[in-house]
Amino acid sequence: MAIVAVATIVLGLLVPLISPNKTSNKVLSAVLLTFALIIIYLGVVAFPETRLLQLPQPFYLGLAPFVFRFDQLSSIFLVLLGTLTAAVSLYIPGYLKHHDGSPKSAAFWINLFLFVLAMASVVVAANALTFLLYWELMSLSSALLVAQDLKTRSGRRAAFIYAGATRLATAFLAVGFLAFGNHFQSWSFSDWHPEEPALLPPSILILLGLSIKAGLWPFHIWLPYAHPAAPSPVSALMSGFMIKTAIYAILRIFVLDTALTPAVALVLLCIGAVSAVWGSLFALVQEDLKKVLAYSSVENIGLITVALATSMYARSAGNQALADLAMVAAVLHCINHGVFKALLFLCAGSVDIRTHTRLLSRLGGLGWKMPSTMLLFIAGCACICALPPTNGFASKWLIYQSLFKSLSLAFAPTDQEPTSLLFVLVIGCLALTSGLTIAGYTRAAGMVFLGRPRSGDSAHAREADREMILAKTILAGLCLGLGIVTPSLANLFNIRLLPTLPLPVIAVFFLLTVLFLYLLSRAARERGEGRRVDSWECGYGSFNGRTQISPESFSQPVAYLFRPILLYRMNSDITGADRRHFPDKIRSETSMKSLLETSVYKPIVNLFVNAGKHLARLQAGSVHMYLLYVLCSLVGLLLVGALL
Amino acid sequence: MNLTLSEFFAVGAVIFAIFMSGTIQLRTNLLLYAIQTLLVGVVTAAFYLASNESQYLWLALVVILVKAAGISLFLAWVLRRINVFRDGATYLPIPIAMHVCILMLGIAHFLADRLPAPPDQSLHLQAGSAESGIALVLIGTLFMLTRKTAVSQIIGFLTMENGIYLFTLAQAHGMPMAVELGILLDVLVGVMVAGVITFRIQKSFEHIDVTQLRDLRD
Repeated sequence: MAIVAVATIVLGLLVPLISPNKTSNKVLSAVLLTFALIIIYLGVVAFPETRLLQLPQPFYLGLAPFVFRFDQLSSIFLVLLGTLTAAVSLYIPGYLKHHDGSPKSAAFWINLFLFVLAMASVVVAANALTFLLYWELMSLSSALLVAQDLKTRSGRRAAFIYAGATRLATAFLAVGFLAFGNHFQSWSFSDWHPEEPALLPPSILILLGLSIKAGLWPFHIWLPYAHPAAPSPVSALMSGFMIKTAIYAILRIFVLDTALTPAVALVLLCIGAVSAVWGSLFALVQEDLKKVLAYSSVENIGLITVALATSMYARSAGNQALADLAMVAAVLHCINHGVFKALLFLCAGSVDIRTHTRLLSRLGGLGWKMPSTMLLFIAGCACICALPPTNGFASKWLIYQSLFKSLSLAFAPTDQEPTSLLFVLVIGCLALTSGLTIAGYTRAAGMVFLGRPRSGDSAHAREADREMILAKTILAGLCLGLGIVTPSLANLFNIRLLPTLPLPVIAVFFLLTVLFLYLLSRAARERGEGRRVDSWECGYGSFNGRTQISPESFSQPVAYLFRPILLYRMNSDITGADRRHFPDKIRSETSMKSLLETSVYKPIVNLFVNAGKHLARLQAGSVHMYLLYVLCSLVGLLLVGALL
Repeated sequence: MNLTLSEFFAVGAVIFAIFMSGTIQLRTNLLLYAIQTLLVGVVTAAFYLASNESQYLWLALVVILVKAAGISLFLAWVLRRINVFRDGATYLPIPIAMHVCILMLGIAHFLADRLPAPPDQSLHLQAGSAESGIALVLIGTLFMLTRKTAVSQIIGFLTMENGIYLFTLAQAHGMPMAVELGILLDVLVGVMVAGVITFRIQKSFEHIDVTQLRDLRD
């Protein structure tokens, strides 16, 4: 196995060197597919027993050796990564062929290989330094993948925001890791047991760094910028796997074999719940299809964090069985979300390359042109809305189960009323989230695939290539399959508390509901008289792309309800002589801004930009000015050093 | 005041560096630089006398041959080639520059008193040399700061380098031989490159006034 692992690394590093410019995309994607299959193989082989793999002497990180650890947790993540990469590798050639303003092929492939290699290494890194090294590689290569299109303002902005977020995350992580390494006199994750109260500050730093990467509220700000800018297959990997590496690290450092103070767990619980509601709410009102998906990643990371926090809380309360259940729920939701979010991103990519737009207000009616893509997208939506019997339902159900069970745990000691109240609130938030998610994805699928085209581009779209459909079909099949095998997957971990999931009953019930709704709608249609257009056309004549429901109008009721958070504003302007009955012109304008972005991040960024402008004056261009700086700082530092 | 032999020469090097900032004749500058470096070499030789370790002797020889003689001759040749012998104008008037140099020596003295003692006390020669080292670094920077020609920049830089060398010698009893020679090689190559670039500047702009090179930024 060691040989295979080393061969993988060598392969990953060699491919960029074989000058991707001259090789065709198909060959490179075949290599990527092989790479993905090797990763899956490694994951499967490593599952039964834990193995350590240390690189020989010349490869050394200064303070610690390169060590990789293959155990159950990392092999689950490896298999997920391999699966997603395999699907993406099938998808890419078709995507690149039709992508307008095609990304620079050589840079794209090099970064993609490095990205996959780094992600695979992050989840098997056994010590902090190896982890940090690959974490950096992952951040940088993904930042370069996001920065494909630097010519447009939005592309530059996305690259800037994403690069800033990754720098911040790495800085926090590095400081926290240094403190931990110093305290435990070891860099190995297995030696780290951060229960002691003295280790709380570095633990919080590490959690901060990881939550920036995971996209937890309020650090989710980079997701809605990075995803629309990145090519769709890259978004699929980033959202499907990269943000999960942060969850993996939280699991590895703070959940397995350690128990943080309950306070941290409860704070994480709240943040997770807020992320879930926030993400689903913003997903509902976005204009850009990929921003919808990006915000829904925030929501799902929130759900996963809720499960993680429940696990931490249960462990600190001494209830091991419940802790295991919640942890399994978190891991399973990671897997499931990875699969269906990748599916949705790939579908969004197909829509993008066929219509050259991602704006919901310009799409519509694609169901007739791209039937397979529509079916697959709706399958993904069903998963993400957690409709049984899909995998989204199975893992969300486990999350709810663990929350309900921890409710009884929180109620048990009578003096913990506030805590139990908190859990009730979180359950409420999750229920709200589910509702908002269903609304959001109904809107997304409806606006893209149903109705009539809202622009010429979407009227002339064609179905995606066969390979792309194949990639998506694999993922969709996995979604359904995982829904059915999730209970048995959970059994792999010997969870004592695992409740039996009456999946067939639920599925049958669900299918009956669908059937009932279908018959109802059919009966309604048959009874209806059809459309007749009056002579004076007060029925507004026949329908066209502009008379159907628009994305804004669909989400308006909810947006209005949450207007303080969304900063939602709507201005209607009706003009005409008798404007009540015969208006000449009706103008209606809605605007929405993110509260966090405008009132928290913007001032901070502006402060830095302005400070940077003033500091730039220091760069006078004169050698003598620079020497003066050198002399002054030299004398100053020496004096400070001598006087302190 | 009770100076050891090496301290005596080290302080002498500083005094010649102060003299150096007192003239705008580039050839005199070079000569004073050569004497200053010679004295630094002599300090190294004094270390040999005190400790009887042969590496100091070799080091002293290399310093004197390469830095004092070789580099000075090379720069004199450069000056002859480009036919520039005076520094046009300085940022600080010469007398004030010399006084600031003396002030720097004072700062260096103040700093050297507060330095942690070197691990090995047996040679009893560190205080004065460390002080001279810091003073040379500061004076070299000041020299670069006040002068305008490219050659003066090189001389100032070499003075700084002498200071750093002297400081490590005093404080850590020198670095390992290999490191010391490596740095020497670096300086040598740096000066060669800088000399060649000075030719190019002279050829392209018909002067070697670095204050005119203001647009070299982004």
